Amino acid sequence: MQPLSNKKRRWYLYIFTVLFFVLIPVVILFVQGYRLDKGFLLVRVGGMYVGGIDSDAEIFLNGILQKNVKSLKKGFFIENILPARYQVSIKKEWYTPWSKEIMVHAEKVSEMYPLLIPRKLKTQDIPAEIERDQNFFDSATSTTMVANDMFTRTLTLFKKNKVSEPLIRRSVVIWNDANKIQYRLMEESPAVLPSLCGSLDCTATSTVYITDKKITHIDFYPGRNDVILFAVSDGIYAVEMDNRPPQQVVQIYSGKNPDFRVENNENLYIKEGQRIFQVEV
Amino acid sequence: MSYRDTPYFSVGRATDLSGFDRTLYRALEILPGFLSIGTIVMTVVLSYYSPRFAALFIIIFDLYWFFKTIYLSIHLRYNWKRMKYMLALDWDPLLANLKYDHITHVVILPFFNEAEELVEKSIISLLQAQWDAKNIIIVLAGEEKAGDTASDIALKMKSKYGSQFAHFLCTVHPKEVPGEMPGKGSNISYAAEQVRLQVFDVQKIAYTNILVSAFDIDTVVYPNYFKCLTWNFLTVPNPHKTSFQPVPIYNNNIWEAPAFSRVVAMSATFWQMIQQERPERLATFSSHAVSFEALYRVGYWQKNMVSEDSRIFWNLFVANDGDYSVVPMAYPVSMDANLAGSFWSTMLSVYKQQRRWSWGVENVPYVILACIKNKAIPLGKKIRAVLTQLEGFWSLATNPIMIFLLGWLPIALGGRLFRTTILSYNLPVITSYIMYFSMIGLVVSAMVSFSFLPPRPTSYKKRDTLYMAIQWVLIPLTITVFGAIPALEAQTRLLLGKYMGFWVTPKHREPPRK
Repeated sequence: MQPLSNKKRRWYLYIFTVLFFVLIPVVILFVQGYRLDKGFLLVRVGGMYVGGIDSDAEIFLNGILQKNVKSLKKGFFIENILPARYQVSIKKEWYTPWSKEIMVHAEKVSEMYPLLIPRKLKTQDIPAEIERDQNFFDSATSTTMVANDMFTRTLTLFKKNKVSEPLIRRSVVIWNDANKIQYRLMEESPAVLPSLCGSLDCTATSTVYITDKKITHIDFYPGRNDVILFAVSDGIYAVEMDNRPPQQVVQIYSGKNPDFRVENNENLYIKEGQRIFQVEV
Repeated sequence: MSYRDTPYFSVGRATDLSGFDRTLYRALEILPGFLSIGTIVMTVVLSYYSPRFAALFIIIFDLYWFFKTIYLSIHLRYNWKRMKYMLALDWDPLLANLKYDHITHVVILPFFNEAEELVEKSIISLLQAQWDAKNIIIVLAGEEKAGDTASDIALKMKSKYGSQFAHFLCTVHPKEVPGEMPGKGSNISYAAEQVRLQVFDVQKIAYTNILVSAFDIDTVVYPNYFKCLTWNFLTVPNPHKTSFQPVPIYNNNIWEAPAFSRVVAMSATFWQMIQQERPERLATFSSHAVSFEALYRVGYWQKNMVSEDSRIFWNLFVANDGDYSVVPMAYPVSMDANLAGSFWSTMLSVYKQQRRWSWGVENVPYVILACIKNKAIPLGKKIRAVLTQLEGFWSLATNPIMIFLLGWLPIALGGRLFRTTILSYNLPVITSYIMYFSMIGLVVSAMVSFSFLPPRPTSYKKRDTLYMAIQWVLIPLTITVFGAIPALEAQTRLLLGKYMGFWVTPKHREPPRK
């Protein structure tokens, strides 16, 4: 049996070389967002990336449910969108709906990180005192009320409140300037979401939200550096820093002069009067 | 003056030359590392300063790699068919029309301090081959440096099996010979000269009738090796301007070796199988055969460098002004996969072996210098030789890193504006598509490897057979960690002039499982 003939090898080489050189311009144009439209004309498209949502969420573009979405980077990527302004809506059962007007540019991906908040937050009371069994004798037990360490520890969180002091999380600085919530980016780091930095000068100070009510406390929403929680006299609100309209402002708790604290970027505690409870977000 | 009489012919490194030649050779030593490191550095720099260009470059590179993989897979698959055909072939009718009684086979088995049973297994395989052992001369080539135990093993083998062969010569290569690098090259060259003086000249055997198989000590021949080799030798147009290359299959201990060692070993086999179908790119590697006449004319294997197995081809190529080739035998010989005493020592051993093989890059300056200095080599052959060498070592050191590690780089370094482009989103998608398609290639690899697998020892379970298939998912890791990185290290050492010495691969055999 003879080795693979030179003639055959040359043919394979020619075929693959031709395919390679034919595909180079096709692939280069494709990966940069060039597509053929129905009239076989070359058009430039853009895309959308919806981050931080799971597969239970539905994505609507101008009211049409999008099915051809690619799971990518802990979110969803929608390709082949012609440049235009779109109304994007995200719906998920048991969560407040989210929508935003998004401009899609050719060869660009418009990113968004929807603020989806459960319609009914799960809360767990942290009582000031808890029951503890006490053994007086081997055969007899009784219960007594003792101070709850967790309550005591959480209460100390609420004693610290410097509402005007800037807070920093992953290159984003926020502060309350006389009921005007503002933010600034410290640097262009990968931790900064592109939705916070639409302009070329990303380090300029921007206003997130202005209210005529007195803001008593602000902090970052647990797990995010693009959503701010603030407390006013009638409740606690979450506001997006992404200022593309409409800006989402969601009341997550309604009450009288409530206060809150975020611990370790993870745990959210709310205090109203003498009652403290932990909120699952 | 013939090229082999010039100082360039047996140059091992730049310091062997003087004046401008030394500077030129040094520059040529720098070249492979410069190209490989330069490619990686350029990709990193471009990813930062021009992420768009870097991303396009990586995507085009992915595309190139994809077609190259398919192209090479076709060669692999064809050689697989051919090897199976050669193994099943009845060689007697083919040899019947040829006169071959005058051919003497010499098998050189260099060894250092390997175990007795390993040496014995190789010798027994030669006796079991379908060839009259009385026509085979064995040279068991030991090293003085290895001490008395090695000499005792050699003498024991000679007393046990010597009478069954035409001649059984035990040589002891002296240690610390000036101008020599300790290693296989100097040992087998010494052995070849000893067998010439002590046997060929005494028995007046014509050098043109002697075929030398230069093996490793773990090389085990398949039954028809000598028939296949003899037939090839007698039928090629110019047998003394031809080397003969079997396919090394690392099967001897394949069941005992850990998965990553098996994958690395089989990958090396696959590469050799691919090269067998591209004879114009084939140089001798590991176990190979060549006529004694050709060897004697060039003074045997080079003694002052590491990669004697491939260098002997280039020595013969330049000595014959480019009129020299390798015949791919498409017939296997079996060798040991890397296996040391423990998992981590095997890992280290695999890495060091791959680094030694990658040190074959020391042939690049040799080949380019010869192409510059030897005007008698045709220009087309010069260009092919140089490009083949440069492309081969560049690919080895850069391709896996480019494919598996650098695909994300423009996204990581490219900045905010680039990260929001369609291109940055498509980069990982395209790269992953190529990975998926390459998985098809892995299935082919698994099938090919299964067909050469020796029967599962009874002490191994059925699931061990399953592992033999699953192991191929390790490929991205093995070709990076045991392919590109040792190749980069070898090229960097050559670039810096930190020359490597010969490293003897430990040949460990696991006791049978209970």
